[in-house]
Amino acid sequence: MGLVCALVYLLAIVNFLPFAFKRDIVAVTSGAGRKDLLQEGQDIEMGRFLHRFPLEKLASYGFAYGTLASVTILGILDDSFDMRWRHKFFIPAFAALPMLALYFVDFGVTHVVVPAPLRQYVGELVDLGGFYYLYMAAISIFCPNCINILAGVNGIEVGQSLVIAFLIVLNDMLYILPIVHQPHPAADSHLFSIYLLLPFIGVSLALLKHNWFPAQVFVGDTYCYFAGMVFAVVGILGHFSKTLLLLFIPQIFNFLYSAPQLFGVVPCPRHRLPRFNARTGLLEPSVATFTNEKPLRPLVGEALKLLHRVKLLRVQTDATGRVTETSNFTILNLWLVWRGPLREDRLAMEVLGMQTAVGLLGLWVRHSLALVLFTADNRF
Amino acid sequence: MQDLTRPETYALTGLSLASLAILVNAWRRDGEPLFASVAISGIAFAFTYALIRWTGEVFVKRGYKGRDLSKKNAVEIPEAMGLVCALVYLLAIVNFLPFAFKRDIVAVTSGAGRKDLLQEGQDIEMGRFLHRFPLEKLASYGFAYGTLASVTILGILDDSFDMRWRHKFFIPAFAALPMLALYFVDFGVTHVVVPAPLRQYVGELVDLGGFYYLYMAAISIFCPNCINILAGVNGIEVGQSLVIAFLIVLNDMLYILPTVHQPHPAADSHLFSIYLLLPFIGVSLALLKHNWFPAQVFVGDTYCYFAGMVFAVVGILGHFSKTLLLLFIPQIFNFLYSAPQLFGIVPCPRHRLPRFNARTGLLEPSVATFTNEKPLRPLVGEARRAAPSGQAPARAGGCYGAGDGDEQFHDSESVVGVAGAVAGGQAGDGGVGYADGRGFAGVVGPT
Repeated sequence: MGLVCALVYLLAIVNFLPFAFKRDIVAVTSGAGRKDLLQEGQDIEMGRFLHRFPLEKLASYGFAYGTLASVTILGILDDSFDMRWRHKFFIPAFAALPMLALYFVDFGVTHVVVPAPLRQYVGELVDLGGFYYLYMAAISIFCPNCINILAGVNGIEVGQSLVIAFLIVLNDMLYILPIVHQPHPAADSHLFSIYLLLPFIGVSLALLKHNWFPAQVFVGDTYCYFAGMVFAVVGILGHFSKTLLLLFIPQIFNFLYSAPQLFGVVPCPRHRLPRFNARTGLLEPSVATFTNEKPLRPLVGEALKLLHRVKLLRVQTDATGRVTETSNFTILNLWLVWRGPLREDRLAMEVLGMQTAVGLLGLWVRHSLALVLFTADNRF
Repeated sequence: MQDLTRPETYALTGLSLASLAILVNAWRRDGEPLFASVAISGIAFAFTYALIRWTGEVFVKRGYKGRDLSKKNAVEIPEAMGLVCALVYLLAIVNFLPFAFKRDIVAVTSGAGRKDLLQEGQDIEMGRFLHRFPLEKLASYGFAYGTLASVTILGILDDSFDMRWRHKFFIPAFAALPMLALYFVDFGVTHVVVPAPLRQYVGELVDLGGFYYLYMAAISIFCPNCINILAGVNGIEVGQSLVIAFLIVLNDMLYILPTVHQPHPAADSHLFSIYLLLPFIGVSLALLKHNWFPAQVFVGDTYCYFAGMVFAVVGILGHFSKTLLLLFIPQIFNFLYSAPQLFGIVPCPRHRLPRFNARTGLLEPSVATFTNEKPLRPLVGEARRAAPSGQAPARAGGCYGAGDGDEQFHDSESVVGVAGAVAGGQAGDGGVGYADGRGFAGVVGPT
């Protein structure tokens, strides 16, 4: 059902375009008296001049649209052809190619600002060159897959996407409110981000209404790809990818936490979503079990017991001390280990609350610490 | 997964390596977009060819299949292979972009000594100046890409959900919205030049205003559907698209050859058209190889939408939509000719593709039959008899409907009683009808 979201979203963006540029069209056509719109002399790294018509903004919309349409196609293919995970993982990178191409052709900025403490070693700016494109491709792969992994409970995929979207909009607003010196150099890219996120929030709220517990529809991988790519697009084209990653901390934690099972160090069952206890009507942590025929390697077993001791897992051992089962390595299961059995919507609500809190904390840290690390927060 | 044969592997690998060499060379020489486009098209051909062979089974397994009715043994082959074409095409366009703009990037970054690239003072209708970096060209590529990606999505939905014709007809208009938005925001030119004889009445230019957008939307609806109607015989959809593509490229070359005064004002938009068409030719040739008689794959509505939209995009963004319509004359004729059946004046059977005669192994015109229970209106019958067609009189035909007539999602239809085009294959449409169970019996009056 994420497909419906994505299609309506694309339609919404297209219909928004005339409004985004009306002022510029009027200025170009009428010309008279609007000299303040002639933005000459604004030199960006590429030595290019903005002129009466913000064509680079237009190109940004075009390629953003192209990227999101591509990821929708690939989402449909994924849901139709049921691909293997190792193929699905890289799909978003292909969908992101239009955006990378735009970046290459239009911005070409591959420098990163070095944190103050390191400047004496490497200088103020470091040019990552081609690696910057790998970094952007990595973000494009990362966001959709992260949303996809933190899944399995009604409403959690749409819910986490909405939380992240609201947090990004909150961050964007910091740059466009009158409290900062206007026009802020980053104001335009944050406005662009808001214009792309508001329709996203619109279509996602509609989907959430049908997907929240008890769900009437499922969202499919299409939604995860679509949502993740919206975030990647606004983060990359808005030049705030590091801030974006801050908001993804719970997802990053979930991914790292899942890694042992994803990469086969610990055996991984077909499904890892929390187990439903029909008698109580509550969700409990689901487990992976180990038998005598498929014993755990002793070293891994010891590591699991250690994690159990620091409360990052729930492990069961038999009389000989050999590990027989462990809770699955997902944040949803971990939450249930900590909080005990919960009803599905309660679990979703608490995890989303955690996401919100962590995100807000992250934004606060970013804007406060930025001053310390980079000697200037670009908000001011 | 079906493998390529050894000769195929060698040929494709050789082609890919040669194309790659040209590509690397082009990159070193500041982009050389034309050569890069040819090279990328070559790689696109090889990649599409291989992908079609490799993914055929997956398509069949997922239900995207059809039975070729015009064969002695109606085998089941993969359907909707146009999707593979469209995806490789999109990838090709994206990979072409750096080559298209390399020269401009170099000029902007190095700056020194390339003053000839400062194209100031070039006033277009909107009073805009081109500057060092041709951003409006970049925007054109972006929205063209967005339009073609959208039509691919809608093509997939069509082949997956089997929509009704009255819905499918308008699909391309939605896919074309990005292009219309670009036109509105960036060009805004809605004047048309009036033919000389009429100028004394209406003046030299007439501003169509909003109607121009309707006109562009109409072209976007028209091209895909036209290709879809002229269908039903192995290879005809891809074949007609390739013919049209080659003709457009031929027309484009007239504007960029040294025989005309360079730089011709329209040279840029025709180059843009060529850059979009060469990869299309590449992927379509690969598909044709598998779709030509006897077909190993079907192309699906996805291909018709994709191809039609490529033509609409180059025609509209290249500002030669009327020339484009000239090249669609056979399709226009087919559409008008089908109109009586499409709009129900003459009853329309489920399928209208030519009928396969298993004994001779040849195709014959298919028919719509009329019985005493469902007689033809007398007026319509008389019109048929007097039909001044050079061939056998028009039989009542089937409704234009889903995809090409080769494929069958509803494989219960028999070929008997199916109406179709006249013999000679001129208007060999194979529209599958949405006659919703309307049946016929009886015969059209003698000719």
